[in-house]
Amino acid sequence: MVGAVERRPLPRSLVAVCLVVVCVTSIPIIVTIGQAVGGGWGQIRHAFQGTDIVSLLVRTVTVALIATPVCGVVGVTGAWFVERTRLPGGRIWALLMVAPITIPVFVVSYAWSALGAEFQGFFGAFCILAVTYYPIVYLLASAGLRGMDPALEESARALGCGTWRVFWRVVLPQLRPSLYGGLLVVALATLVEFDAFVGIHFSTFVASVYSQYQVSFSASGAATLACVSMLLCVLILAIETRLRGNRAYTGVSHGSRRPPERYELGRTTPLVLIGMTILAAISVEIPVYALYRWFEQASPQASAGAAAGIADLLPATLTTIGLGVSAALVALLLALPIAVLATRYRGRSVTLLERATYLSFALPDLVAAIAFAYATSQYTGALYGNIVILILAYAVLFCPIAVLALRVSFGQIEPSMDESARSLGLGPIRSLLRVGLPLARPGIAAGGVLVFAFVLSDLSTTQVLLPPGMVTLGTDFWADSSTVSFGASAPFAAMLMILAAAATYVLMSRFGKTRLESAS
Amino acid sequence: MTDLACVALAKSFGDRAVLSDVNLTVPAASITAILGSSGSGKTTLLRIVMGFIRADGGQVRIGDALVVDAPRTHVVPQRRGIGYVAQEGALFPHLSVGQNVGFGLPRASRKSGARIDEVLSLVGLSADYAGRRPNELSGGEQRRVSLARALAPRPKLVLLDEPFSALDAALRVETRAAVIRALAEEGTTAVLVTHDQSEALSMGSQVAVLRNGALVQTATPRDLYQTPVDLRVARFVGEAVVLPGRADGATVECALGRLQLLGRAEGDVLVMLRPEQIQIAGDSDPSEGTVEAQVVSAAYFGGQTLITARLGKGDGLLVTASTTSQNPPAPGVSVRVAVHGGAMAYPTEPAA
Repeated sequence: MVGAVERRPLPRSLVAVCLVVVCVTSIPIIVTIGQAVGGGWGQIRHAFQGTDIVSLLVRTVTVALIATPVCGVVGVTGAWFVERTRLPGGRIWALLMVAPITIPVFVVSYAWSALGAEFQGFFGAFCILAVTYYPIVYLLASAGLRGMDPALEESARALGCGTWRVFWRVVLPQLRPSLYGGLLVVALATLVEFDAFVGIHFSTFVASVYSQYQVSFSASGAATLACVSMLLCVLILAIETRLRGNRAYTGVSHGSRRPPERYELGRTTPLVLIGMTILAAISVEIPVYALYRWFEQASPQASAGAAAGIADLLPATLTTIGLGVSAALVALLLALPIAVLATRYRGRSVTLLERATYLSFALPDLVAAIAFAYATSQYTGALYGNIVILILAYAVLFCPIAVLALRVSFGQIEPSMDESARSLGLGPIRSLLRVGLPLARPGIAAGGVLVFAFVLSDLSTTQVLLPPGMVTLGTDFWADSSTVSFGASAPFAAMLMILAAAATYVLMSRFGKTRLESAS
Repeated sequence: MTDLACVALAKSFGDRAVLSDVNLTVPAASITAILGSSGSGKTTLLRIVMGFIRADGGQVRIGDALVVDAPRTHVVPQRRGIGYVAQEGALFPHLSVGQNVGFGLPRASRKSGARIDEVLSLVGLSADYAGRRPNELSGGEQRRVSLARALAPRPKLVLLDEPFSALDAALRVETRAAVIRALAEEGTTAVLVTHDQSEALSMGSQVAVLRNGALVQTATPRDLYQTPVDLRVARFVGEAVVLPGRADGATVECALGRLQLLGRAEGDVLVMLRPEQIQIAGDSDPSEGTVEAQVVSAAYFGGQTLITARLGKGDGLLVTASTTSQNPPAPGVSVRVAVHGGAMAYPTEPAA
């Protein structure tokens, strides 16, 4: 259709809203750059001395370079088996595939460190990153698979392609935008990862950023190093932009779709089941087993300490839920205009606006949190120490994930849907509310779950910005695991995992189904 | 009273002109078909009237309201109050049939459902379709629901974009009849875009032929078929027999004898007749005004047979005649042919 690829003038109000979003998400970046520059040339030079920056940087990039493609392969393969084949077990696998992202990454880190000495260092770091982040690719890929027009695959089969060739030549090319997006987030997240390495002895570039605060007490030094990691991320963004290009992937066929056909696995069923079970064992059962061991290990006096800590469990749980839900909502709200702009319009300014929102993901959490704290204490004294700032910080940090998830779903809605709504007298906003958002539910669900999960597993931002006197499950786990024993911290970790699993289940079952499944 | 008027509409994509100087007036409560081959700009015209794309120049008036006065005025689609039936229906997959039909209604009448049932029955669907899902409907039913959805808010004007494409012949006829009935009952003005000439001629009370972004002829179906403005239009809207001839005012001399002209012409011309005008008279009747011919082939279509015959003896011109006889002459048989009605004459160098 002409309408799908035609360059239309950008609506001013939408661009204005997107500019506001980008201004909000740029707060930590601008503050950080300001801190780095404000420290002066001497401070900048000083930041690069001492620790071996170059070898840390190389190590960080290497582990990210290995973990990212592995996440891509595992995520896409898993999504295809769950969404497109008659795999025995059905939706249980969907939950198991998402589960790892909802397990707080520092819990995973301690769990792997408990497995043995061979998981300390580089190999352990790779394993933790791979099992933690493949669900991002999985979620985006499965949202993409669900929205795909089955007629395309059927046409390919009619042209003589077997299952494998259909996947390679029709399914994968259509998944490309969501796949690139997923790999982008994984790459950015692994580059600035810190919490994943707290249990194993593996220091990355971000560790040197953190030590600028903790050892040198130098905010400008940390900001300087954070700028280096941001440059790295800009590079990755540029690569992804090149790869993705400006192609339109919106379906060209109209009419109401039939549900996609699922393939029979036949004799390969046991093989696939074994593979999926091993994956679930590695990514879910290791942390669950570690948790079990921590409960078992709890010595009597630690139990007494734990009992005291248990009093914190309820308020910590409530705070965590409240923070997670509100951050997810705010992040989705920030992401919505960007996703609409990026899927409905093309051009250089559109690409720039969209990519600008990803930059906040490229800041190490601690740096971003300190930037927020600094900005609020400097300019909005009243808000300093207010929980609103923490929620905003979460939303800004995790907004790119929401953008990605929404993009995939909005990209698959044919323009004729919006046009039909317009012809029936609806304005752009009401058309979005009554047609766009309902059709984009898989993406909204995926984005919501992901942001919620990232909030649950966040430590650094929470520790810096949580108002005094408040506790979350994460901070309590951290406090107990570093002071008393894992036995005392186990209930908090358990509660975190239960929450995450529950959120995943509720969202996936209410919103995450195929459009056609949820429709009938 | 007109419901749609386009004046000097122009649109280019890049440096490629898609529409130029399009003028179209659609009378109230009628169906106008815009007929054009693919790439002629007909969908672009429709989308400009809908407001999905902006015109580079020209005006569009809907009823009394000026909705496009390019480049200054451009009323957004949702304020134009035009019904729209997209290709293949574009039903919302997340809503039931009833919710789709009620989509453009105010909340209160959406709740009551009376109007929904009313328009569903208008398009020939029973009220229990309301609970179904779009993906449970056949292609023809999807088009009907799409029309019902467009008609529900009682628009003055409905635009239909190739509404019967990809339907099989029987379903096409049936859906077409249902659409005409529904439009007539609501008294709605309709503009239909199509590349199918029989659809355009049978549905439109007015047919506008669009070619390379320009309207070349706007006329009633009968005028368009009998007196097309040039040979290309003649061939586009139906089967044409074209012979060289020499005109002298009101008549023309050609291989089929001296024929009456519709209009006047002088000198060397190309004579255009429709196959129905050429009738097989039978060999035994060498009366005045008939020409001898030999049947070359016969294509049987059930209701009619198209006969290709060679005029004269040896290597005369080929003409196509149509007969409704169930015993048409077989190939090789000698016949006599006669011409009924007037012929059209065009310049020998057809306009490019």
